[in-house]
Amino acid sequence: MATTSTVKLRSGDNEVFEVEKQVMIQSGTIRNMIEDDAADGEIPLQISSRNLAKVVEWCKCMQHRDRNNNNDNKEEEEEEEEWEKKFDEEVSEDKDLHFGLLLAANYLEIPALLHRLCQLAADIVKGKTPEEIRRTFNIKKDFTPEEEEAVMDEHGWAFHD
Amino acid sequence: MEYLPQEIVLDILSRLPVTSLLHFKLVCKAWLNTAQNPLLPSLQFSRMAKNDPCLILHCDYPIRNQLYSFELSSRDEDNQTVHQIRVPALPEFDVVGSCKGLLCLCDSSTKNRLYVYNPFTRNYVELPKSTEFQNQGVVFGFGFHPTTNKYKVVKIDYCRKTHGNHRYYRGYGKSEVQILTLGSQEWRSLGQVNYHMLEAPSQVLVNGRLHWCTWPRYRGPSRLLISFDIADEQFRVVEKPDELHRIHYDLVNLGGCLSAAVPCSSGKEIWVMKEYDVKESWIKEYNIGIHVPRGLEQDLIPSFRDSKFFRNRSFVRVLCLLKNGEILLEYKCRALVSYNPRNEMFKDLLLHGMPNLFEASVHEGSLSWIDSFSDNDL
Repeated sequence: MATTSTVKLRSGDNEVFEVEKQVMIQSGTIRNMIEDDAADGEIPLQISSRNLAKVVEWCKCMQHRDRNNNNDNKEEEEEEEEWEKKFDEEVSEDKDLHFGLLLAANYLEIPALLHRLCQLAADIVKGKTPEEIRRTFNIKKDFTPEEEEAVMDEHGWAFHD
Repeated sequence: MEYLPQEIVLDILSRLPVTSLLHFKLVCKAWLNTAQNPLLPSLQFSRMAKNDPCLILHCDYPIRNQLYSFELSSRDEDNQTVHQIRVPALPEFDVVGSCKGLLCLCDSSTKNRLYVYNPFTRNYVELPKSTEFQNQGVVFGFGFHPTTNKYKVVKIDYCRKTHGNHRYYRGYGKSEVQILTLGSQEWRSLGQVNYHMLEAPSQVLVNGRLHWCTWPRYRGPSRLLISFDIADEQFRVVEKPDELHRIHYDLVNLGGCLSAAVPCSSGKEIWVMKEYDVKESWIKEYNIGIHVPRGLEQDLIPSFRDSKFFRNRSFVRVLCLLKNGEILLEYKCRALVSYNPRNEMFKDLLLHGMPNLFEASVHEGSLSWIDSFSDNDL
């Protein structure tokens, strides 16, 4: 019987997070476990404690925001906006965190978080030249000049330089 | 991004404007493969409503058949560049319309050769020829219907009635409507249509229907607003407020709503039909004041006046509603301006590499190949 109001999440590096169920039901995966009464013990997750902490923090903030949606508390609203802005900045600047969270949000089935992270990734790539993208993501160019030319030609490099 | 699951990478890619996708393909082999995933185009289209489109600028002076693209979704203050597109060798063309990733072009002189062209893949096909009529005026439409998933081109020929030796126009007589579904080899005749459509710079597609205004009529009710449903292929009259009766206006799709931009002494008024086909839902939503963009301060080179774009064109053309609530305007084929209705401020878009004289089409850029559009029909 699911009697407690919290759920315990164990990270891949064995840190335990105790979080309100109400917060974590934003995750489809965890919601299913709660509904199946499979969440009474600890839920082991293959997610690092750093990433899991961030996910939990995000879920708390979103739940808080949804609960307060109806009252017009300007101050709290601004605070939340500020938090989200900081979240976006932190994620955009830390590639490992960004990718780790993408995987976590995908595994935990948190559509709103996944959506946000994908949009952030798209914003990073948007407007960058191929060389700038390579630098941002530490990618080696594995095209020979001939191959690159062929890609530009066959795959619709539509522009005059 | 190599170690992210494919569906996440596709999600990210589907949020990119088409020019960024082209850049993405050139990063490395793995990314090239990912960007060629056949699921991508439909995912991308499903997100398009949330992103700003791009503009295709058609330029015919000093060189004909030039196309340029400008991505509205990645515009920022310091880096606004217009890219010139490599255009296939075609006879001099007019842009009939842009619809869901494709441009429809027709040759300017005979109006009987039509092409469908994706400017971002450089992929194009020439469409089968329709039946030609003598002494005709032609109105085209190019559209797509989301439920049938079909692109269609409509061609309406109007035979000119001449009166004795007067070249002065006495109205049009017989008309003939022909339609081609993209992917099929033959035009079908839809018979006559009793409305005389005004050939606009580009017809307006809203809710799977194309829209035109009619010419004013000598007797009877004034200008009508006519729709043509891409799915059931019927013409219908769209009800509009009485204020839009005896005046000239341009039609435009503003954020998915059919709208009418009416010139007035204080600039331009925009009427918006908030709920499709509901007469009572038309409201006068915007009132755009007078503005002279910087680009227009210089005198026009006289030969520009010969350009086909220059004729019969409103001073201000409303192009689209941007996601930030601003309205994009084209001034006399020479300047692009964004207008913010909240503070009524105008901002001239100063873009690197912008042609001097152009006609802008709002375009949803995509890397779909034309083959994949017509597969259903073959």
